[in-house]
Amino acid sequence: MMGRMRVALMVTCVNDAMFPDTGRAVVTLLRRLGVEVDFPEAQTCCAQPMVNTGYLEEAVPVVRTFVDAFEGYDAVVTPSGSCAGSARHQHSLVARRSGDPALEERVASLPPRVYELSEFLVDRLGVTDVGAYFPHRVTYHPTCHSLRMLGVGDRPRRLLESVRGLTLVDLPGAEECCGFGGTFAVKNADTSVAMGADKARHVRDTRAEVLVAGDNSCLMHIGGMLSRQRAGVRVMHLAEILASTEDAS
Amino acid sequence: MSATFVGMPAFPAAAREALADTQLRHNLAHATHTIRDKRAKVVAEVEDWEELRLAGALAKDAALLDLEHQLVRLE
Repeated sequence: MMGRMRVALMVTCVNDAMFPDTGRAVVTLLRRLGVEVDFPEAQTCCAQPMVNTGYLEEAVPVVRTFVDAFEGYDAVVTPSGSCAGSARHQHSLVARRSGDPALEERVASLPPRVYELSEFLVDRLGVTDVGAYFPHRVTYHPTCHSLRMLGVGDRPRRLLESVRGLTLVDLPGAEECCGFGGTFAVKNADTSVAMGADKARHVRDTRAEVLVAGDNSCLMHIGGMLSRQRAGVRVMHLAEILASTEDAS
Repeated sequence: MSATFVGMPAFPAAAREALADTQLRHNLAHATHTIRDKRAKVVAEVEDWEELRLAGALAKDAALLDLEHQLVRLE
């Protein structure tokens, strides 16, 4: 049944440029679960950096490209709460600004089919045990957009709790922002770094080997601090842990 | 036009100075966490908190979309 569902991977700019292993992990994981995944090469950015900075009109062609690339699919899966949130909560604003009723109509139909990875696995496929094996001590950071914009709730935790060998430890102050915030990190670098330092301290307090999250942008920020501190904690995207098996973990 | 008062540094510059004040950071962290802990305690007393919160948000959005009519009613 799942084989007939037309599913596209929306890899996101950050993953495409910096973390291609995360995109590969999503494909590995979904294929293992019997889902055929396409990668529409016409995809570009979700337009969030422009929208967040107030350039709604400049975002119109980007949203148009997004719809052109993905509207033929039953589901669009992305390993990013932030980019899924952008499609679901910002594209309609951009479409309204475009003054093009046809674009508004297309945008009204597509974003409900855009899923952050944990939502797709739990809600659409109905699985929490994805057959993964990862014998390490892990702590989970719920990213702001996945938590507050999408409301993914405990889906990532349920997926992690079903991974064999994995010990999940609570992260103190888990629901506090890591301080990245996209362009915020550039415009307010000192505040961003101070928030990241608090988050890194909480991560170290858990004595976890691995920090996991559903957004590589946040992990890039926290991981940058942890590596400079020689903290002995590595960061991994949720998709990469879920893709790990006993043969290749 | 900037709304910054004359003589007040821009936020990034003011933040740099404030962030270097470790006592201030400690005190603020203590105050905000005390508030959050109290909130969490009250939230934990309600079983369907998230559903209630979402229902409240929907009621707020509905009122804002119908603001003109609601304001006339208030008068």
